[in-house]
Amino acid sequence: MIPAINIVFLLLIFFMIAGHIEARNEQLHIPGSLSEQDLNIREIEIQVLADGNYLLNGTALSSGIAAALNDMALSKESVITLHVHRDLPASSLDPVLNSVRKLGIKQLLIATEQQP
Amino acid sequence: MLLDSYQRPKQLISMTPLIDVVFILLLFFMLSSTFNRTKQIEVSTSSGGQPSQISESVKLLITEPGFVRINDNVISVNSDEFTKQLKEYAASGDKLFLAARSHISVQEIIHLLDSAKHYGITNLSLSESVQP
Repeated sequence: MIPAINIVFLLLIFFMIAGHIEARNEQLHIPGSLSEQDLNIREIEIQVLADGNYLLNGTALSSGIAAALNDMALSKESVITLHVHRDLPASSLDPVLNSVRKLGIKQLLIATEQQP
Repeated sequence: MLLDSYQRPKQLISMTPLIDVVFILLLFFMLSSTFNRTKQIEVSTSSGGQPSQISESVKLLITEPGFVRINDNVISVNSDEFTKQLKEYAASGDKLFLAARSHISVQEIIHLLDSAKHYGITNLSLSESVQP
């Protein structure tokens, strides 16, 4: 009995750790940078996928991004994190920049991964 | 003797503790190896509407991958001249507005943000892309 419990516990811990590793999305390779700041705050997360779709906190947007952000009734101190596919053109950032600015939010965090 | 006949064939390594140890080693290495943690880059989104009196505002435009236009001069981001410029802006505290032509990739923008941060430029904002 005791060895069985040991192994079950180890499996439990294994899956707890493994669960923290984010599932990698083929549609979203974030750009590499030399930044040393860890990304911790994820209050509002906008994702721009390789196929050009916008996701707000993991759900696809049917209407525009500006409308969706408006519905959330954000304050000016809200922190918005942007995960954007690295090969997308600069124009794909425009809707995000535009709507964030309209809300009066001055800061935008762009998620990057450490460059190898 | 009776006791002697009780001897079992001795197993070299029993299985359960072995699995335990292997699992613990696995967990140890999983925890100790640093995963590719997500980093962040902060940019300001404020527009160039109100230029402040104290510091000048400079517009940087990425025209081609690896090339930036500052004050109508197109220079390479790898050139010494560009490095010198960035250092000057960092020292003077000028506000930098970064924009890119619409076909430039996001990675290119991040690359430039990176070097700007590297030279200590904090007053940096990202503007919308510019149609060529």
